[in-house]
Amino acid sequence: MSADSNSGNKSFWPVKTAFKEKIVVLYDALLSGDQPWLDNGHYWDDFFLLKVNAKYLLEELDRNYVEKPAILKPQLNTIFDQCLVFVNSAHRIRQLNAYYTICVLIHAVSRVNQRNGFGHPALDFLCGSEGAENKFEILIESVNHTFLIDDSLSGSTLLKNAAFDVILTCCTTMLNINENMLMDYMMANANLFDSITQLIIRSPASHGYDICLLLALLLQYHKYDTSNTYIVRFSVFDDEVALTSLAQVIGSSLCEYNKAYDIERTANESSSWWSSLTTFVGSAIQSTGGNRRMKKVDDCLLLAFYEAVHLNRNFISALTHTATNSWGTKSSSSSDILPPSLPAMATPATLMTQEQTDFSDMDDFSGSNNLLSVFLEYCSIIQQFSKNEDMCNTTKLCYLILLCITEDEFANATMHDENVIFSVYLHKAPMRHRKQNNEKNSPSRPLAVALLDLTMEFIWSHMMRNFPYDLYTKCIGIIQRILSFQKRTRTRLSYSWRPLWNALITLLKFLQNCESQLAKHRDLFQLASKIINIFNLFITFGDTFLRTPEAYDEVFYETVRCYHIFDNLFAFACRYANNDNEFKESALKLMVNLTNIKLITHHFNTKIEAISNNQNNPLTENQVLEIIRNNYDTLALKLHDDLDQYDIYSEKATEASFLANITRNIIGNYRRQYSLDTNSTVQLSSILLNEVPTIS
Amino acid sequence: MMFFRRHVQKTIPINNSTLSSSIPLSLDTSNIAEDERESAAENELSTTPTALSPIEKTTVFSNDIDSQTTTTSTIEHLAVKHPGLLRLFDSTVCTVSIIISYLFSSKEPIVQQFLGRKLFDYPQEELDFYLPQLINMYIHIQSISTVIHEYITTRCSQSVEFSLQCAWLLDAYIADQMKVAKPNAAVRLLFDILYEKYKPKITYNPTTINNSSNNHHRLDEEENENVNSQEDEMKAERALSQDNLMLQISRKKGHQKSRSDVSERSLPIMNGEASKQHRRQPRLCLGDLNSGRAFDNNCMCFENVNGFRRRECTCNAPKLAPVREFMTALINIGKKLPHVPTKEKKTQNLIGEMKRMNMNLPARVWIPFYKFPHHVVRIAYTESTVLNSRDRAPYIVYIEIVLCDNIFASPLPMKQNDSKLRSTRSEENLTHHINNHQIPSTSGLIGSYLNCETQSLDSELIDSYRSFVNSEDADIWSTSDDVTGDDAQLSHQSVPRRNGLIGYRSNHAMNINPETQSIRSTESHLSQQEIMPSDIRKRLTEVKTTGPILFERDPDDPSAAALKEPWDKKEQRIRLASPYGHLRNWRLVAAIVKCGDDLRHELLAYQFMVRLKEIWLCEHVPVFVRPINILVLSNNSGLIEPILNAVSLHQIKKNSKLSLRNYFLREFGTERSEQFLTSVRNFVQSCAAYSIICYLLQVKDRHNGNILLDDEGHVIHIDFGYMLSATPKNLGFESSPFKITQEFVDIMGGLQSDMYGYYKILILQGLLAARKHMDKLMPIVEIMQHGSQLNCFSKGNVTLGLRERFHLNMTDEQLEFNVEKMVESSLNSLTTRVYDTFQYYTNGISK
Repeated sequence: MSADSNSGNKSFWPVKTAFKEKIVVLYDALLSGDQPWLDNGHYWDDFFLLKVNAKYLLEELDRNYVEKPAILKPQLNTIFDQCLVFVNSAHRIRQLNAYYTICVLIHAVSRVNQRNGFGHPALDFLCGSEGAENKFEILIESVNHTFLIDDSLSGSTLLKNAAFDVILTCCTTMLNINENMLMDYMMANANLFDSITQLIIRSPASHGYDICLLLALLLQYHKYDTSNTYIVRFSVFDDEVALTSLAQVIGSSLCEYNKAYDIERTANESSSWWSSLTTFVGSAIQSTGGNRRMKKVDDCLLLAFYEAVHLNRNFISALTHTATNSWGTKSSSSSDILPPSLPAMATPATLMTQEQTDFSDMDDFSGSNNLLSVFLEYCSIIQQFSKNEDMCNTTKLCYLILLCITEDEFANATMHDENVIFSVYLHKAPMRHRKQNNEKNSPSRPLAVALLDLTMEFIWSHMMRNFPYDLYTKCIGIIQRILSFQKRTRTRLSYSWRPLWNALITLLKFLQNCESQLAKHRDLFQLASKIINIFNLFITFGDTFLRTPEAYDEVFYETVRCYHIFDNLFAFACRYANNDNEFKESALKLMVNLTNIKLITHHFNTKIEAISNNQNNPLTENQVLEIIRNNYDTLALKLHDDLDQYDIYSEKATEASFLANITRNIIGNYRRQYSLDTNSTVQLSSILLNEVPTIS
Repeated sequence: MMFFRRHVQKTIPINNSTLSSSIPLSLDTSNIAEDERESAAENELSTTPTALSPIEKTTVFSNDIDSQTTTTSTIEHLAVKHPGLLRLFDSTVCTVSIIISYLFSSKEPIVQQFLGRKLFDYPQEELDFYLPQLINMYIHIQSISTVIHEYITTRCSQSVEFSLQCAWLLDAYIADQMKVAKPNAAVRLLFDILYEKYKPKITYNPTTINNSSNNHHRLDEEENENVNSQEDEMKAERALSQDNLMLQISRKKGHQKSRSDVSERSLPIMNGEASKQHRRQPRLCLGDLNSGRAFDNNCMCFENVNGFRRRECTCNAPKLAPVREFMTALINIGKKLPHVPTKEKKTQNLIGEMKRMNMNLPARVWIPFYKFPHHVVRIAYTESTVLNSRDRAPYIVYIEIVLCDNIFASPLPMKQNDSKLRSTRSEENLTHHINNHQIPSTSGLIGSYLNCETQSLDSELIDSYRSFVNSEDADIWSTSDDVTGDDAQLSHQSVPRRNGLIGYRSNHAMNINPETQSIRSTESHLSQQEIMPSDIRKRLTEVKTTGPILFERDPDDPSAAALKEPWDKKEQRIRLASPYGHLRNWRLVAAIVKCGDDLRHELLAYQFMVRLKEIWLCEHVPVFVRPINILVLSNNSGLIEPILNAVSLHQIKKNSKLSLRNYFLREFGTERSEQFLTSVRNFVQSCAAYSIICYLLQVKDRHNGNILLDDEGHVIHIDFGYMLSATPKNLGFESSPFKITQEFVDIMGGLQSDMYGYYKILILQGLLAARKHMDKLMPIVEIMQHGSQLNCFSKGNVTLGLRERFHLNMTDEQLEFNVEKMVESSLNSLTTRVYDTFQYYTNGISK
């Protein structure tokens, strides 16, 4: 607009200067170096009463930064100081505008300093070198204060949103969070932790997403070297209510995603499957209005979830907390005298209405909406698309979460509890050789069953050229952790293991077949060893966790049936073990691990051959099982130590760079979508107008 | 008191003035005088320790009144008019039962007046038994309501429990009347109680034991920021150690998971002011289950401040509200459940809801029908299950409680997070630990509770808690996923340790030498040891066949498996899994929550059976009856005490697929075995008792789902929803006097057996005893009938019918003949079979 007017349009008519917004005029004056506040004592009062034009201000700041930084700096510092003054004012509109102005200032400075990092020079440019620490302390303190405003105050949600904008802008100034100097101030001001945990209890619906994002970011800053107070605070945090709210925030977004996916899928069932898939992945899910920035299940929610299961063991019990209808809607009103509830005294009419309202959200009630079961369904969707790199990262994050969960004793105990059953629908990638099962009403089972099914599905659906070795390792690790829990606690899960064995055997076969492509980069023998060890667990410790003796027979049946795969694997390992190469050691180890299976296949095969030679028809399954049952006595196996031992997951050792990358993506994503909804000033003023009497 | 004064001044003089002119004046003055005395006495009471047993207290209290009231003119007048009555009332033979029945039957105001005051003389427990009768009279008979008003309000002002009971009963029994009449005195009373006009007093007097152990208390409550000069040193030390802790934590930044049992609260340095502010925040969230403080009335009167504890609650916090909210929450869940489609989903939802309740526990709430003082600390939510019922959804919850000295003053156990205790940190140690701390047995519920009350419970609570928190015991509770520290050295140390630990646990892995273990666990080692698959398979087979007879889980009847599990096993299991299980005074109790059903019948049946049981006991009739405790919350909801270790005949037949006799043989042993014979005797004795009860009360709806069998062979009837004049759907099935089927007789050993004869003798003896003490039984029913809309009183003259069934006019021989006839006709009754068949087809209940 201003550019237009300045360009000197030589038309016949006198130059018609475009109408400028009042605030734009003020910006122009400020940025050109004027000091209008010297003349006008109410200058800033007026300034902050006007709606912020973020776009214009941002552009102008960018331009001026390059053209005349010397003029800009003192002006910026003054504006920043004034913002701090008004952030603490009692006038809500000015407060809101001050928040937005700060956002714009910080964002603008961070944008131009992206190369150099948000260090001292940038800070100096923003608010002056002196007392920067103090100023940010004031800022964070007032943000804190805003977070704790009572909900009954009108416009509090808008103010809180603005406060989140400020704090998130501060957190996302740099793609690499460790280079962000502003984070130091956050660390110094750990009160923020108290206020966001309070806030997640009070209004999970409106601020849940922001809280998760903020929490996830705060926990990433200098994770491994300096002292991050938030990590310490969060890891010992034990407020059950807050943790439950957190779980529900995450759970409800995942659930929304699942539902949307389901609708999309069923809608496109008739049309070509691939097109539906691509459009779905491409198109983001429509925002449902509740959350302002919710476009899709952001990695930041998963990251917050990951940190919660990884750092905080109290969170585990919130995993299976069934979400009930009422969160966020019910505000406690009984502050003064308590009205005693009198069911019998109420007139029938009021009783009726009460009941109606109670059951209005019944459909919600009948669903099993707990975080873990929703998450398992979500995983089953995401892992279908892991060809896509972005989705692959998300899948990996999901599996890290599952890994952490299966390492927790309490979580394992809950997942195996026969009383805690849920019906989890797992999406299956359509494959040519199997029919798609569209039945949504699977029976309720313990969650461990669903988790095992999920891993099995992963194994089946990812035997591809672009072999996700890392994910497979995690997947097998999860199975191993579940089995060792069962062995340790003698839990006999009612689960038919056969499909899982088949999947594992097929995977072994695949590893051999794709030797040429895979063996160059990956240590296939290590993965194979892990798989074989799972079999060893069944063979040598089956009595501790299998449910029936028949299941034990079946282990032998399956190994004997697929003996050639094991033989080939042994031969494959032999090849590598005998000549010098980098995998020699693990190949040798695999051979050792195969000992028992070799013994078994050899032992039973001779018996089976002997009998089948005597008759013409091939043996039936029952006959083979019979042979197995009769010939246990003459077989002796070797005992492996430590079959149920696993490396406890350690983030720093293996996944540090992955998580740093995820954080980078999250920040990048936030910056890309960066847009301030300054219209909320208008909303706020209309809200305030409606309650004129209360404004004095 | 004000309320009362108003009454006396208005109503009583009017009543009396019609009688004689001289009395009212004196009566009036005496009343007022007494009134003042009363308030004085009350004040005194407030300072007298509650630690005195309640009985003692009342005697102190009533003696006080007695000495002065004896002179009042009411007595003189009564002495003139009814000298016989006065002598009866003053004599030692006069029991509460007599007082109550005279109160009901006497029409003379003077007598009523006297009896109203006489109530103070009796032990509170005895009167509490008749509370439903008192309340019913209060509601329906105006003259009585004025005379017992004082008693009720006095009691209300003394105890929260009594206020609650009154409120619930009033609520339940007013409901019928609301349809026909305007609110009256009873409604006013109800509101007065609910708004706590009578200000139930809560006092706390530490016993000497308590005092001596106070030091422990304080030490433990340092979260309550009480500083005692003595303990300053200790505190400093602790603070130091916390500093260390902090150091540790901050040293291994980016650590994995909080390993120690550090809680937020134990990090005062970090929390600083903020958490304290949070604690003091006086925001009332009563009833809001999502707040985490739904049952907290914010009363902090008894908290330790600088080593002092207040003796009395002085704040205005609502005292009835926590328990009422707790009950409301339970009931609301019950109201929602029927709308959930399947049994499976119902149970799932129930578990979810219970988990939500748990967020608000521990709290100062209690389950009213367990009489020992306790706090509810947790609900074993995964165990709760929906019971069999076609359209409603009663459910059973298992509630973990901790015994305490004083519900209001004893410190609550600190909130423990579920995940604090994980089931597998070396189970052996854990069991051992629990056993050490456990008080002898968990079998007889109440019996064992009494044992442990010799010592102050609170100190136990604290002591064991202390040991949990900071003694070396805490090692047991620390997590097994100990440390994978960041520096390699740390992990080198810890991993072998961990391996060693797990190796110790594993039953197979032997010869583990931790030093040689590699850190890479997946590199398993082939040990020299051999293992035989044949052994493994054999062990698996054994697991399958040697376990106790448990019912399999059935999605359509999830309760069967839950109820069949022996109680002590269940308690042990839940204790192990509970984060509060380590507390020495931890107990498990159960409650059935029922909504949509009128439990007032059940309450009536309960009272009737309790009296019968007493009568049989004192007449030495060896029959067995197990009254089921009922808490009526309103006219369509309430709590029922579950029978432990008992399952319904229906469930037995469905799950075991055996005839009852064969089931007895399987459960209790061979025909000649001691246990079998005892169980058959139990069966006969209980059968006889319930035959009499069913006959007297005309209990209907006797299908196999309503008859339980416990683990000693006793038959226990439940569900007295249809009795006296009510029958299911008024179909008029079940015309026989009681239910006795051929199968029952088979258990006894057939028609020719001694046991069958014994059964008939017991019935006769039982009936004779009941007839002898009929006057104790009749008032219970009679009074409740007055003004009642209950459907058991809906047809005909119920009391007359009941009176007839005692057969007062028969000689013993005639009665014997009659019993013979009744048993005969019951056994051959067609309608019993028809009804069972009917139930089989309509509700799927086994015949």
